[in-house]
Amino acid sequence: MIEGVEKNPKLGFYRVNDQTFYSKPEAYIYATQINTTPTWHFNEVAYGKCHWNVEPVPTIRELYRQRAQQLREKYDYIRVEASGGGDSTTAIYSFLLNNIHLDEVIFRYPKQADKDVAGEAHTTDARNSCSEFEFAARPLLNWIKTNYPKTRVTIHDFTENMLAEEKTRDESWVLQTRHWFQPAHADRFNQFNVREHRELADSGKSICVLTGIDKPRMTIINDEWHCYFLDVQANTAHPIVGPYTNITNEYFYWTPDLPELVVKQAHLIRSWFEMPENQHLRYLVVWPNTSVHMRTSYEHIAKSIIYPDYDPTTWQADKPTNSFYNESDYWFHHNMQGTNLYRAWEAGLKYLIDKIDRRFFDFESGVPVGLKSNISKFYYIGPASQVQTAVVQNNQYLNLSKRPLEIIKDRKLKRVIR
Amino acid sequence: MKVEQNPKLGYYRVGDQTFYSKPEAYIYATQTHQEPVWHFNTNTYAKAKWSIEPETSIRELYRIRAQQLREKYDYIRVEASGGGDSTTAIFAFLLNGIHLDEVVFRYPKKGEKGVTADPFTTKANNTLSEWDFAAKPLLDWIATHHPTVKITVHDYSENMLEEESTRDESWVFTTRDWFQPGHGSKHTHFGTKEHKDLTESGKSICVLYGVDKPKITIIDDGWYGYFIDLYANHANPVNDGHTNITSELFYWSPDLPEISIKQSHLIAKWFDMPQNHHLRYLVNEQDPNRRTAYEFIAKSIIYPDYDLQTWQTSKPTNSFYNEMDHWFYTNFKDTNLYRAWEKGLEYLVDKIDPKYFYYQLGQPVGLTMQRSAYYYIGPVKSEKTTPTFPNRGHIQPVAVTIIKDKKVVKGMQND
Repeated sequence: MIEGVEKNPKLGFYRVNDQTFYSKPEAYIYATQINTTPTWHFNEVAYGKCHWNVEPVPTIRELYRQRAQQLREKYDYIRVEASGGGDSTTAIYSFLLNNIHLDEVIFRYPKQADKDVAGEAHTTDARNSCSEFEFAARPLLNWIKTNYPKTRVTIHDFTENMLAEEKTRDESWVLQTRHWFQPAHADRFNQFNVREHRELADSGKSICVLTGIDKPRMTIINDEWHCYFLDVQANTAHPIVGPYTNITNEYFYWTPDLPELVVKQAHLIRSWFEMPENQHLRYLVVWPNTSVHMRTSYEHIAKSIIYPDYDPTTWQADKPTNSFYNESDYWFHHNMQGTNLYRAWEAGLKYLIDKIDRRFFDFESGVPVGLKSNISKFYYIGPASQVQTAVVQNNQYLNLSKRPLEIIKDRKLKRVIR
Repeated sequence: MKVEQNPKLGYYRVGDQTFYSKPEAYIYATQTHQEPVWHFNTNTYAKAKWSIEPETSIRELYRIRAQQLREKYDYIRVEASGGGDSTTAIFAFLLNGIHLDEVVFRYPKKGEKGVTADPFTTKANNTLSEWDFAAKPLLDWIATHHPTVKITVHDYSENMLEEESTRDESWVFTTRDWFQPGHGSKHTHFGTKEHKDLTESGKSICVLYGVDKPKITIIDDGWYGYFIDLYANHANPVNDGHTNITSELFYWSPDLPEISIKQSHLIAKWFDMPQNHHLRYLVNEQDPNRRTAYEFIAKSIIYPDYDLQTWQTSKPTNSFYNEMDHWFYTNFKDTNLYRAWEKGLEYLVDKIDPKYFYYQLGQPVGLTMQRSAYYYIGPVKSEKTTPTFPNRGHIQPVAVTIIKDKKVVKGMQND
């Protein structure tokens, strides 16, 4: 077992036979050793009891306020991991616009390695993700400083922490992330890489590290709307809290403490897609929902519905397409080739490939690019109207891969193959 | 090589010279220190009543366009990809009982090793899978239901390999704007024996492209339609002096401007609906993600007969290092064709002023795009969205020419 992993079932966990793991790589290595398949569990009891097919009455803004208030009452200190995107910005607004104190907003940036990889506003390629600081995050942080001066704003250069490990890092870094096997993920969100954060941890205060996870995943299966969760997103938080029991990762949206929030979001999105003038766009979410660009388009639509206070024209780079060779790590590939850090990153990937059964990986052109995602149960939201005007039904490719799904409808579990 | 002199596809003016080849125009502009200016049916489109939605339904306009082409040409060949644009052009003929002579799909068979067959990877580098999962089912449907239509699958990698020992940097003049290794060979009019024979037969031949969904934008609370040279430059320019071959764009045509006007109105009306106005920020051609979302929305509005679930990869992000050419980078590395492709790009970079390139992370990746005049469609309806903190410092306004009420004015578009 890895030392110091946060044992927080609200973030999801893996079961491998009778063992529970809060680290995905650890679970998959163990599953490979004993030749079985890990299962992911994400707040099934809380979500299973929920009335998913009934839209909560409070407005979405009011639910955001309630969530912020709930967290404020629970923790002494709340730090939001900000990217400038709609998810984290709306989480921040939920505090600030409702006069609920927020202690800190932090943005993480690889300053020592940003040479030639940032600053082009017209390039939204994922490789240009460093530009999110200049064009998305910095304006937001300045706005916070001006209008909410009591909120501490931190810009953390995580390449300083990486470079401090230049001589010592080895492949074990892969166990310091839950799913994102990027060269810097472990340093980026580390709870102790800033002196003030270490001191805060030592102070004994209860600390909430809050991440804007995430927009609801929606899909239509057999002409019914469902909501589900993916471990990829739920594994964003840094897993290591060391000996500290006063540090807790929280997801603002995907939480069993206020399931109404995601239920409301799901209904808002479904209602929009079910409007007669918009039904023709439902194809963007029909299962199996594997197209990256359809999903990205869905997310554009979804965030403009569920984040009413966010500016959707905010600059944003494309989403990366995989975990291992993540396009948003271009700064690392461009500026840190030939370092021990680079070799350690490669050694980490090799370690995973050596230790984990091939069937647990995603592949692109025959190359493993990350651990397969896990899907939660599907929670039934409501019926979907049927729309079909196509002359030629050209979707036979969807039959090429079918997987077992678990659907919860009217609090009953149903298994289907789709 | 001789280039098709067809002003309906657009052309460039550099000083007093007219060019139908973009690279030629930009090289000459660099040599003479003059600005190349793209013209795209400006007279016809300026006279059109853009602010009035044509009463005719969109399906009927598609039928009229198909009939118009049928009456004009002896032989019509559609360049099919399986996507919504070309498929709807095909449907415009077939669903209306208008004969279509040929549908051709272009595929680099010799370069497919190791780069195809996964229907659940939709990155642009998996573009060859459009054959299996999008085009083939369509072609099978045509073969079954419209057996008089000739179906051709052209392996253009064969044509490329024939040039393995002879190709040099001059290949850049076999394309108007798409400096991909295979573009010149892909859409050549002479890639198969049958096509060559047809050319020699003297018949009037229409090579029809499904170009394109309308470009619309918002400037100062008004909706505008416009065109970009990148898409208008899709057709293969080389006709080798055969004046009986004409490239036609199905939608962007001065012969039936009502199509683009109708489409623009349908899309603008959708975005103006109270429940959709928050999505107007997607009307942005510069951001590939927003453009993709816009195109998904647009095609679901203007292509009513197309199956929107048809398999499709992501759009490429640039011209020079186009992700769709993954097959070439994977399987043709270390060939003369590869070196010739690189030399062609070097030639362009060497001969053309750096200001005429667009860049990604400092690297030139294509020639700058030009826009037509902007044609006023109508006022933007419903209220503006009001975010808590408008985060728009990155937006760079671009000077544009606006045509409103048949008058030309200058305006700024926020990109």
